[in-house]
Amino acid sequence: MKRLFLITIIIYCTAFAGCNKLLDIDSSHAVSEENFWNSHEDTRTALVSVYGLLRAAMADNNAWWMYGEFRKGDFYATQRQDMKAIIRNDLKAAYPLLESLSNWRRFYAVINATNMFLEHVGEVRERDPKYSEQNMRVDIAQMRCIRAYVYFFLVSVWGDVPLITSSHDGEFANKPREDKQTILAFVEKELVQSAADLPYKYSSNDPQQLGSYYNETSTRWYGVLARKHTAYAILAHVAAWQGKYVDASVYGQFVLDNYSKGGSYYVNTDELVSGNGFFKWKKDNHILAFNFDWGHVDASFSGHLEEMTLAEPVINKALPDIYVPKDTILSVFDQPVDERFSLDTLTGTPTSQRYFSNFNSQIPIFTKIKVIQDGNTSDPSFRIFSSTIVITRLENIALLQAEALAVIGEQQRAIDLLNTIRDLRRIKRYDSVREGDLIDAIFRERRKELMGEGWRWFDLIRYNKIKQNDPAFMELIAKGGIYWPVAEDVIKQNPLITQNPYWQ
Amino acid sequence: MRVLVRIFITCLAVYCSQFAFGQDTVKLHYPVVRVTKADSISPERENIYPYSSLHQLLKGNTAGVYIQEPTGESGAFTSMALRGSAIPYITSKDIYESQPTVVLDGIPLIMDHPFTFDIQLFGYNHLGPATNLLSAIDPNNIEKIEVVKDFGRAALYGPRAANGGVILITTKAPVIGRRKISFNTYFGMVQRPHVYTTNSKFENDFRQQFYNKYATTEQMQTYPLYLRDSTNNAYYGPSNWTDLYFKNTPVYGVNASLSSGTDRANFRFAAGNQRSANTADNSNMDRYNAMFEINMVPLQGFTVSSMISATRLERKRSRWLRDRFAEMQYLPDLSSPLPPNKTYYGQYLHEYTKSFDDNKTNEVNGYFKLNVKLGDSWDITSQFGFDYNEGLRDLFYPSTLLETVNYLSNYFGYNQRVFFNNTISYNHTWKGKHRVNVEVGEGFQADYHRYNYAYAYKGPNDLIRVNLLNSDNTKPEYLLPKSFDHALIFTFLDKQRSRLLSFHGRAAYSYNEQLDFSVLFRADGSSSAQPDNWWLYTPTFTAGLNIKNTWLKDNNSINALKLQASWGRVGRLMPDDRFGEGPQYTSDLSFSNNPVRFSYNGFPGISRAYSSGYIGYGITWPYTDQLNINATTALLNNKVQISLDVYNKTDHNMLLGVPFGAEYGYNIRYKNGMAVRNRGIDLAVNATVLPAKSALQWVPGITVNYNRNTLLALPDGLDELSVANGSKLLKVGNSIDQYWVLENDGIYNRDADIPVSPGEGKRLNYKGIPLLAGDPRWKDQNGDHVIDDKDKVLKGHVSPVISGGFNNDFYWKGFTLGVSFYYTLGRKVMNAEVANHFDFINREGKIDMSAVKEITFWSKAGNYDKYPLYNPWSTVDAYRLDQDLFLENGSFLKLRNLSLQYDLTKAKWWNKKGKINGLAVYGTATNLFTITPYTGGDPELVDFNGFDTGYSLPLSRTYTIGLKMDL
Repeated sequence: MKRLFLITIIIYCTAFAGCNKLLDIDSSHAVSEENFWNSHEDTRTALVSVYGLLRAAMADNNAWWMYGEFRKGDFYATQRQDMKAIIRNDLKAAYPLLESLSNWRRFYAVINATNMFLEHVGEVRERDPKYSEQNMRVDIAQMRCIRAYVYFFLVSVWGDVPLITSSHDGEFANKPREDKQTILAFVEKELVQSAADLPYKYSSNDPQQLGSYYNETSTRWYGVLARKHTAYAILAHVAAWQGKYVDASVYGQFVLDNYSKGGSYYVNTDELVSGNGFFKWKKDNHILAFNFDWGHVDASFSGHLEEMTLAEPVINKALPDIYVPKDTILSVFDQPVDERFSLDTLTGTPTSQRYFSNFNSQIPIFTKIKVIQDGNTSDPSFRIFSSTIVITRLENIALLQAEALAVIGEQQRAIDLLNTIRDLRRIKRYDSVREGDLIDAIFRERRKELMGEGWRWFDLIRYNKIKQNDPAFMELIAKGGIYWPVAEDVIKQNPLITQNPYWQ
Repeated sequence: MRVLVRIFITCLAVYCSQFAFGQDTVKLHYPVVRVTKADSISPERENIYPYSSLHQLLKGNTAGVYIQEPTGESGAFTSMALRGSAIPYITSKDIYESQPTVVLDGIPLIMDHPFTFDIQLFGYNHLGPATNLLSAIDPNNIEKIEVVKDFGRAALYGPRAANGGVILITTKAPVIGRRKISFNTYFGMVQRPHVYTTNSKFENDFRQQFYNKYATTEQMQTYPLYLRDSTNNAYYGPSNWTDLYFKNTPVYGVNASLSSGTDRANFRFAAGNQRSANTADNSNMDRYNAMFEINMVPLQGFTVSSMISATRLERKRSRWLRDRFAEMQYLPDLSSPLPPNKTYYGQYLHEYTKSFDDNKTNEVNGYFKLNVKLGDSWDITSQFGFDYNEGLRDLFYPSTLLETVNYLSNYFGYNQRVFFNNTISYNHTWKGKHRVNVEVGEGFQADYHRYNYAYAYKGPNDLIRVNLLNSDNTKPEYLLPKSFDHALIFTFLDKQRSRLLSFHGRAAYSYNEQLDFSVLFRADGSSSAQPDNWWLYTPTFTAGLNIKNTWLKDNNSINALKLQASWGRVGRLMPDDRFGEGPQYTSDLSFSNNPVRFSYNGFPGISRAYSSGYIGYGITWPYTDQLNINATTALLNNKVQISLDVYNKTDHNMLLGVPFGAEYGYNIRYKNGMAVRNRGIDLAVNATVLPAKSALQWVPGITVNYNRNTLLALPDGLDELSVANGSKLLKVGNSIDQYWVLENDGIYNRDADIPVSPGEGKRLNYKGIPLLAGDPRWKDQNGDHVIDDKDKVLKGHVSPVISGGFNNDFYWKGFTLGVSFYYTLGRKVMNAEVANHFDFINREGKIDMSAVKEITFWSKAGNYDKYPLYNPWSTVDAYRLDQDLFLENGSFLKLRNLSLQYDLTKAKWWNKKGKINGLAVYGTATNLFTITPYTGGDPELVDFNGFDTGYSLPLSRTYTIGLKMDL
């Protein structure tokens, strides 16, 4: 009996020693701290996640258009009450969509991911000899560039926002909102510095990035990552937003002088509107864009303008969520033989329907962007899309440069740039006698060219800041009504955050 | 499979009489009056009812067990709560975490893990067959069911008892010294209910009131097409869809068992088949089960026993549009709902003939046990066992069902548990008075959950229903899909592993059947805990006093009186292996409508877990403390038996996601610190009312549970926290299951009626939106002239405060009449179905789930006239759910079961010396009527939020006749 007892005790003791081993199993769907930041595969994964998170932030609830296109814009909502509220700038209306859009969390996730990357990339450099100095430098520059862009976007949507430049991992501290000027100064500095280290292309033996980037060919990286001219394009937007048009013209000029090194070119109208064209998948011609590449099984139901704009007969959907009313179309596309859209004034039938189909029905369908399924099909049955969220492109920068030059008084250069775009769309060159003010003409052109690309609202703000002739809008600017309210959820979890005064 | 089982049963039926021939037989004893104890159920009384799950068997039968069936569909997920839940139901995942463990002959059964919800856009159902795994248990094989809530006993099961205790199922043991063959079979019908159907005329009239009162010309223009054209027979014609939707449906069950052996070796074999069905939507479930159990005693004092049981469940599921779209994660244009007319609805149903939806669940479990008895004192038991269940779903929807897009999906998932327990115990009694029992034990349990899931859209046609891959490994297209587009095929795989290692020691002492004490210490190590916190050490103490034996030995009116108290602590396992990792990296690239983005540009992307929540270091074990005091008594010659439990169960240190760090990208952070108390009473009373000599006997029995749930603390010392997208409020001092609503006080008929603050002249507004005529009059609780979340109040309870059953058995000669009532009190139901009907403006012209109209849209339950006519276009969302307008009393009393049994062996003409020992015929009727103040449908059928969404198949009336026989 005694022996039995002893044996049992011994067995139990060995079991106890071994049992901690039994309990030590790794999760199969989360990576722990010690298993990350060890190799160049980890930096690639982390780098990709930053772009992926930013794509998610822009695609979530179609945020890119909700923030930039619809407010007081050209689109009109057919039935959706929440979108009607956004269009009339009633951003406190009690709809889940609006509550969700007023939460900035997803953008800060991108910022935190970049901060984490910047803090840990050195560890990988130490641990993995395959991770080269140059690779690290380019990666760091990308992270800084993307972080700066996100801050710029945050400022243009919410005004003052907290400025957080380190991850504070594990020791998170609440931060108050920072003045937008401070943030934009930080953005500008970061962009200028990161631009120096960025290449024009990846895996193309650019002096800043020799050899193949992460062992992939250049096709894999077409237009996917931030490049030198991306940083300058954002700089031009940042400066213009602040009204610093002299700076904007310098940055813009850099893009216009160097775009071809990055594989950009002026895109013709047919390519622009084709399902197989500019908005399809990834392209070097996208200066900054987030793709949903069909080949990578990335096509999705949401996160595309098509989800809201397309309907019968283009896809199976009775009515679009939003459309541009006929009157608006006619007043905006007032130039004859505009390749985007124009109406034969005699017969009343459209001569070009590249932007709009079904013009003669009560609800025209906005078909500028229509990458249905893989983009090669006219099959209306399945509403999955693979169009890219294009943040900015060459035509946008050209018109922005025209705007900057016009404001700083370089009229002729501005007119030349405006005409570059007008030639591209086959409309008559600018004629100051017939069309009046140059700045008006430039903004009219932007309105047409960038319709449905998420810029209309920001253009309206810049236009009114220049013109200052709409008292209602000026009051909106003065009182902060141009910004989004901050979500209640955000204010609750961080007492240092205050609501935008306009929305209190 | 089905055929095999049938053949087998037929064979058994033919040969069984020969088996029995010439054997020693022992008369089966039918007690005249069966008395059930407070916490245990004898299935002999229950196995005549056509129950399709363990849940249904437990419902109303034991105090403190609350069963929430969200639908009457056979085999659908059902939840239960023992003495209330400590976990607030924020998402559907939480219900899985709050389920008590069911232990079958010592095997703790493994259930589905809710991790499939991570890749689902909609959380209505678990992926795969989503079959209730406890449907696999055949009541005919069960000897008894005990619901062990007292930690004095339940703590032996450690963290498995954290959800209020454990449910112990003991299967029937083999008979010794004879052969016994038993049959139980029934056949029945499920009866079609009566439903008030509507058509577009009704809907049009309903909506016109709002249009006449509020609509602008522009709003008039977007009037839905299906209501606009009154000549359209599909919508304006007769509404007779119910003829196709509801059917009187047969149900049946057959079970047979064979048992034989000597005291050295014996066995029991049982097999059965059951078809359960719902009258609605052609849904049903088949269960096939077989079980084999042997005991061997090769040496005196050495017993080897083993059991293996296998079950297969095949389920035909209901065909909600919602569930189909949720499975596809894609919605078609919803502007034209299904027409209420039978002709058109029939055409739609016909398309289902081209589809398949196979839902199969296989379950195998078993154990191997060695028991050594050394002398009278030592007892060594070693048990090895496993439970494995797998779910398979093969699904194909033809292109004709959805805008020419067909859909194919395949799910295979399994849950596997292996365990190994060893215990040594020492028993000794000194001087016949001092009894000591010392036990030490060790247990190891390893769980593994895994699933593979793939779906594809838009196959080339409806004839290719399998995703074939290229099989030639010399070609570059090897393993690429043959016919489906690879960009429209999505595949997933996930797994969860967890291990639990436990040691315990227990010492018990009892004195002369009068006093007893025990103490239990246990150490539990969990792999889901963080490495510096793997182990949790918990004690349990019990003390008992037998008052009858001590002081009342001579009192004849009190036959038994015992007091038992226990206090114990058990740990609660963390629900996911992520918690063990601390700060971690995961894929977080998903966004609205796309829950499954893991990569960008064809590369995986991994970052901090922003959306799913930050998990820091220092997460520690949550645990449950429970004090239980039990008094059991038998009075008046054992005629009245009462068992009363008073309990105070507090869950401490629970994990909760607290909103946090939006400026660092996080949604929430998981923190310890939530504490929830469930305090209440379990009462069970049984009585034999009529004198013992009377030919008629009446045995009423009542079970009552009264439970009060209180939130004691939140992490970070928070006072309150709104969760579930702001739809629920957790507030310290209140219950975790309360509705958080604005209080309605009528309607503002004129703008002039809207109050203006006296000082600033500010008009009353809803979160900054000025209220207008036609808007609801909500109570401004804090008087700040703004209606917002601060004006919402916590009202009512989702779970009942009082619940239980009232069972009556009448015995007369060979007849037994059983009448069982089931009731709940102090429970509210949110009539979301009516609310959604009124909120039609926000539910038209959209492509999302809120705009889906099922065929049941064309029916009416409830009284629409009692709601005010608000302006449905108002941006304050006048018919929102978070107001008490739609909150109703959901208490009910149901006549759940009625049965009449006749025992033929009691008849005078019965040949008592024949081969048949037992023969009884019976008839049952279930779900006969409900008494409730609730104005909507069945108040019992609500989701975990307490919402009656209308997404439930009815608990239909079922009538069966059956036969039980023992040879």
